[in-house]
Amino acid sequence: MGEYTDNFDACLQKEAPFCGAECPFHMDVLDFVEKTRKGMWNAAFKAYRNATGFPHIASALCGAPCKSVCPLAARGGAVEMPLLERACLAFAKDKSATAYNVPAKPRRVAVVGAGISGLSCALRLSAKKYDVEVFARGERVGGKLWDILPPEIFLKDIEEQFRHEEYALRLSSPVPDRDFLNGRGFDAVCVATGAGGEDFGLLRALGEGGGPCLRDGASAWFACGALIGDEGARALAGGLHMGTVIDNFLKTDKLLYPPNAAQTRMVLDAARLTDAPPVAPQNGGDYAEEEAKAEARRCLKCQCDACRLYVDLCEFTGKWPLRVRDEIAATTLPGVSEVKATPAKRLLSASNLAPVCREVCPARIDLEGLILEGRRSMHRQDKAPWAFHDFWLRDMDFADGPEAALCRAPVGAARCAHAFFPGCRLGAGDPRLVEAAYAALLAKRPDTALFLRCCGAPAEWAGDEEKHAAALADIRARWEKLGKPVLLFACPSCMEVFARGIPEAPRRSVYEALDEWGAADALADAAGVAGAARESGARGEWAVFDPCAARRDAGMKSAVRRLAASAGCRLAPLAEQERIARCCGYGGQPAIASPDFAAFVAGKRAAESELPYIAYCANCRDALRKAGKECRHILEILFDAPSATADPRLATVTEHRRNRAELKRRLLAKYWNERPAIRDESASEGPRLKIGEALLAQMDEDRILEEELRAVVAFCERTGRRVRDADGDAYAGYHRIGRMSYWVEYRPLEGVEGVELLRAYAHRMEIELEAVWNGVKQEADV
Amino acid sequence: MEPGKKWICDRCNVELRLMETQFAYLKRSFRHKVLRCPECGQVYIPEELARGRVREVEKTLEDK
Repeated sequence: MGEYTDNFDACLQKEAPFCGAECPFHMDVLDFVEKTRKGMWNAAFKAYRNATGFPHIASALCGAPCKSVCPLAARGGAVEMPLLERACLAFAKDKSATAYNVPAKPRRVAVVGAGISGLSCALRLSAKKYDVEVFARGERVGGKLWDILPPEIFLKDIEEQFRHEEYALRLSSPVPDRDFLNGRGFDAVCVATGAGGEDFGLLRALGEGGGPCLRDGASAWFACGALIGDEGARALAGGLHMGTVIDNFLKTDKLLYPPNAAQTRMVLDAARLTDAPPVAPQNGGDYAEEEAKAEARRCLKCQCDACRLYVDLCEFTGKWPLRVRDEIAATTLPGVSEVKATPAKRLLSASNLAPVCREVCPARIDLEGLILEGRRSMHRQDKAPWAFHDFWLRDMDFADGPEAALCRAPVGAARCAHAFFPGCRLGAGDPRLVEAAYAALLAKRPDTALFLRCCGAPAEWAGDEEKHAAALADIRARWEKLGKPVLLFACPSCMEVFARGIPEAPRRSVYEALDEWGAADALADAAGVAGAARESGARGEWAVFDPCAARRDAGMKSAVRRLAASAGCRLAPLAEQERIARCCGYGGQPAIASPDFAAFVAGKRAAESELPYIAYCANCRDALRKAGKECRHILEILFDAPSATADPRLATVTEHRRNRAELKRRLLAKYWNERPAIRDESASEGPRLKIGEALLAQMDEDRILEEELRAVVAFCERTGRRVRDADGDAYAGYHRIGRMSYWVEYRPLEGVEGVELLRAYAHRMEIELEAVWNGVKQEADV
Repeated sequence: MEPGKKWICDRCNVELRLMETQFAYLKRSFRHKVLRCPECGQVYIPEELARGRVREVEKTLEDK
């Protein structure tokens, strides 16, 4: 887990925006701009006042260094922060100082100099209720401000901000040397005597605590303001910073004086830059309210948010990766949920695993890797709710079982150069596509083996390392037995699983093989698709939907495009998906843990273009079609007559299994002349079921197989464990198959064998001790 | 289940009654009153209950 979580330390989510880092006050510009946008002038003023101490003085002195680093400076023009600040000074109704109810602290601080630096340091420390004494050389406060600002601005501001603070002001009290103050019991001394003023040896003391500071007896001395070269707004900001430095010293007794500068590692998505120019004030001077709001809206609110823009999970949940990490860390921590929080239990399975975060994140944070590791951790601890992945693991068992799995070299070929691995989902949805593609491959390379089974992805996605390893071991052994052929994949997701799990097996997409071997034409010829239909553009305009697993496979991507074009499709780009291949909603199998998330993702992908899609991963095709998108598999395009325009209905979960068994039977008969007694699912246990269309669709939605319901009806009939409708002729009963409880309500058909299914549903919880309950019966009575 | 609809245990020929029943899910057990045969204990969970309250409880336990 650590290898994934450590990586998150590099997250840039909390990096200061460029302007905030450059600002001597380190103002939270995002917060200020948000309040300004909304016209919350009092709140905006408070944010500005808290950052600058003396808001009117700061506004008058500020040279707006933020504007030089604003990313918009090179485009439409930097955000007019000075005008926004003036707007909030003008429009805020309540500009009174805030009284802080803080207990007095018994530590004493002397401030030498009553210029803007000294005063701002005194303001910070007196607000924290230290005992502050300011020593002014002359008879008035303000220092250099008298030379550069009208006194009505700064005197009023100083008076207002100190209104609730108590401090001692010693006018005409020059401090001759350190001993003068050392004998008076000060814990810290701030020296802000202005440019060329007395430095008490501080300027030579650089180094000990970072900035100009030293210890002298019981007190620590620090220098700030124009004395150390800060002018204007920087002198004011330096004094505030000094207040924080002295506060830290008094709390920790550590002499530490870091420079008043911030750095940022901010990375901004260039796509967010705009060319809109700054709002120009109509009156030529200051903004009207609406103008200020409009200018605030122009601010990009720079924040590294590639994850929020591109990672579906972050967008759907509204959570940043750091938060997701914390939730996963808490959830996977050993311990039971009674004594600790498990906030990510569902989230771990309700997410897809396409490595988008790692691709778009400037810090290369592997959020999806963490999620997969989290699933493994939950599985190891036996804490993952089994229901989230159980259906697909059973589906995988079926695909790998005797009814559906087949790994054979063609008759007469001892060792094979190639083996076709169509993946279990393609044959499940559309067995004829597997049959046609294999025929086309054999026509060009007669020594191509056939390898029907699941790639093991469901086990990997469920975090079940043992099951995944077992699947890989079986695949590896069979691949070796075939003579280590090049594996030809129809689904990029299978190919990706193999790349991680059996990296030594050479891999290629079947599309490259079909394209390179000229097998696609053979395929179309075999399907009887006329040459005219394949002429350029004859099949209309399409967009190719690249699956996430193909994102780095340029060869596969271009082969698919060539095949589509050769079949008469005119192709338009799908810009965003081509740039960042994102998940269709199927990957990682989130649909049981969070059907809403899976639908959200598929809906987003479907909406990226008005054009119909060509997919080349069976999972993408099914997910997108389920979301209502017209989407064809590239093999459908190659194999089907162009006139077949309407999207055929997707196969149900029941048909998925039947199709796989049927595919195996057909291929065994066709190429190996074998007709083994493979158990026919449709002839399995139980009476024939008559099921209406609506109920069939509902069963598919609930992932309930017809065979399971037949077994339930058979159980009810055999054991008599069923209930009867007192008024009608319907029966209801249940049976537990695997970990699920399946319920049926049915009515015997009149005159023929079989029953009419009225209702079918399932639940995950188990009915315990059915025959022994509540003291009514004992085990011995049953 | 339509309201008022009566269900009878097919083996015992007795009308079902609301009775305590023990359920288990994700290593937790709990009791709830559902229709069952007072003779043999045969349980009946109507579709509305399965899709409603049962699903809710399952979801809560999955999140725990």
